[in-house]
Amino acid sequence: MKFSLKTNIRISYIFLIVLVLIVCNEAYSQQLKKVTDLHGEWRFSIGDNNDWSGKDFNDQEWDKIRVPGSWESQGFHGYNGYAWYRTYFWVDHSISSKPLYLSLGYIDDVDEVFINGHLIGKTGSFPNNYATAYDAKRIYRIPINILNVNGENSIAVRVYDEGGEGGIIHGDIAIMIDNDAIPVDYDLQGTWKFKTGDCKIVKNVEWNFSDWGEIVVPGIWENQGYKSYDGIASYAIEFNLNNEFDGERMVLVLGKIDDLDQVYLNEKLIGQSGDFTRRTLYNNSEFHQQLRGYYLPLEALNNNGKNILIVKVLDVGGLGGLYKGSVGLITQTHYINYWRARRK
Amino acid sequence: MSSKNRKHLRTIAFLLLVIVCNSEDIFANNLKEIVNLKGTWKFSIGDDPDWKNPNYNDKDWDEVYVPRSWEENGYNDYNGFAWYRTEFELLDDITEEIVYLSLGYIDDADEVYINGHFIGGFGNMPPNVSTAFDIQRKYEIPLKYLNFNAPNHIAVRVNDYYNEGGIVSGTIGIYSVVKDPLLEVNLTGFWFFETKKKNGHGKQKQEKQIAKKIFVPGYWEDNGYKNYNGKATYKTRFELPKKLVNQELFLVLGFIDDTELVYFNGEEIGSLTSLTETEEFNLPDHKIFRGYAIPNELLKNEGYNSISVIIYDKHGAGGIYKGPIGIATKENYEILKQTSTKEKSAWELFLDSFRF
Repeated sequence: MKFSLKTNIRISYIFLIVLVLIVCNEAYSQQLKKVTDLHGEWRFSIGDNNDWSGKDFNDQEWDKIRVPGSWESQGFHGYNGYAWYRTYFWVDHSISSKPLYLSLGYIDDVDEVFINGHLIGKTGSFPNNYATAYDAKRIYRIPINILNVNGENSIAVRVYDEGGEGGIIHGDIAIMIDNDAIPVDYDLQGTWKFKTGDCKIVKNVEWNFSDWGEIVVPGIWENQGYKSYDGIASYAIEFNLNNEFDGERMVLVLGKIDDLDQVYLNEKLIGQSGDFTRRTLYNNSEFHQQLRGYYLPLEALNNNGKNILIVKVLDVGGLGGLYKGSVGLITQTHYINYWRARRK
Repeated sequence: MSSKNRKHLRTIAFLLLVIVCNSEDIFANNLKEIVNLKGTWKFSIGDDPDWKNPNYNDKDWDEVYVPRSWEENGYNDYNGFAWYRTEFELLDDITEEIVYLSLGYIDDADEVYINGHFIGGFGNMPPNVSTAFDIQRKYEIPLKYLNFNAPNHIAVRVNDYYNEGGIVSGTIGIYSVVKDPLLEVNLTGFWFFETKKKNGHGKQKQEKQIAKKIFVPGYWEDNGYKNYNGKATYKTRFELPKKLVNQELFLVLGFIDDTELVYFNGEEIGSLTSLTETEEFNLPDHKIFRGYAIPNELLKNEGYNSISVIIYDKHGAGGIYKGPIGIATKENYEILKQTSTKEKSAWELFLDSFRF
């Protein structure tokens, strides 16, 4: 009796996992169009050095390697640990205004990606807090402001492999565009401060993020060192404006969030997806599919100086976080134009 | 997603309920259509207080069909603010005392402006959003805001934060209370409404607060109290016209689902039980025409007279669901009773079989 009960539980667990995987694959796929193929020969070195992330680093002495493909199959048999991949790509003026993505397929086990020396995303968790993400598809949003338009751009991928096959293993390796993405005027994607648990919103007190971790937005937190975390987590980012949006009504775009969010700009609540409690999800289970665009009250944004944006996220199960889509500020006029163009 | 949208299922169930409830059209019985506003309206996503003003130039705005969700109007996946604008004309032969704007069902929250004047809204706007997607929108338009023989402007500010959004379905137009010559005082309109327990939770939690005014006659299910069964209190008040002083008067409450207890100026004046004791009806409770004699000593000739109706609904749709509603002389009350309970056509009987 005991045995069969255990087996039953195990079977239902497997079933649940398979179901979650099917659901996730559907939810996280998006319509992307390939613009630059990056399959082929890249530069490669085992080892680990932060200097290798930059655009001007000279990698001409490095080995050549075919991407995708495990490094074991290309002369590095039995190697486990850190290694870096580098290549270059050209950004044409015609695509520079479109929302761009870097697709790297599946990487075994953990990676961190730099474009022109800027971290644009990471998946899995490096030692000492190691967590593999060999089964996660890597699609990273490329912030437009770090690109050399009509020029060369460098990609550097830091990989850590714990054991078995390692490297950029298989999948689409390309620069892609998302024609449906919202073209924000002020990009807020990239590295944010992050911590699990609620964070108190205190007015007129200097924020101290020293005990917060880091996370790349957009991206699910499960792939960034917070495997199987459910509950409330807090995101924070500080940004400075220099009168870019004088007299404009602004919209804060946060893409899609799993599941609920509550948003504070300069300590003021500016939006939320219903009550920030689990009960909200009892009747309405599709909050992770809702596109978030919060209209900012005129006085909420400091258009000349520092702004602090806090996004609390409540995830009740499965994947969590600000996981998909454009993140940033857009003028209301541009937002209206975007939606009207999409309608046609 | 593999998880089927529960809200859609609920919406379908709810629409079925609405169809059943409206099979005998409340508007046809109690309100007169003056202008039908179904059709093309000006539309823009975004938010700007300027857009409520009649002279704001919206000629470059998109056009959408009302009522229909903005997702179906081409704004798929959009959540947030949007405004709807249109115009209508009224002839000056409107002698009706009360004019209503009906906007059907709006998902999630709205604010309505006539010629730039705010006339009402349901649900909560950001940042503390709440939905009123299941409340039929009817707004009384103060006559002082209306232009006669000249265009009148409507602007509707809508916020949606989940799935479908906009002016989604229902009756869209300008209506007035039909003058019933048999009623001395017409009490069709908004009454105060109190429920004993909280209705719904989560997203719906604040609806009790929002829907504290309810349109009579109508089922409370159409006004944000879906699935509500049990006790509810309707309250209103009126001033006695001079010519009615010392007359024998009746409070006419049309038809109620299911039973009620009626108070006039704080004193109990009757209940369904007291009606059925005095007369044999051979009808289900919700088919009995309600009229209560008002004891003369309770009537105030000066100031307000208050009416309070406590209704108990066992199951299904509930409320003061069908008129006429008002104050009548004894003579006219008898006529109203006869015409209201006249024999039903086969079609009406067929529809009745779907009722609760």
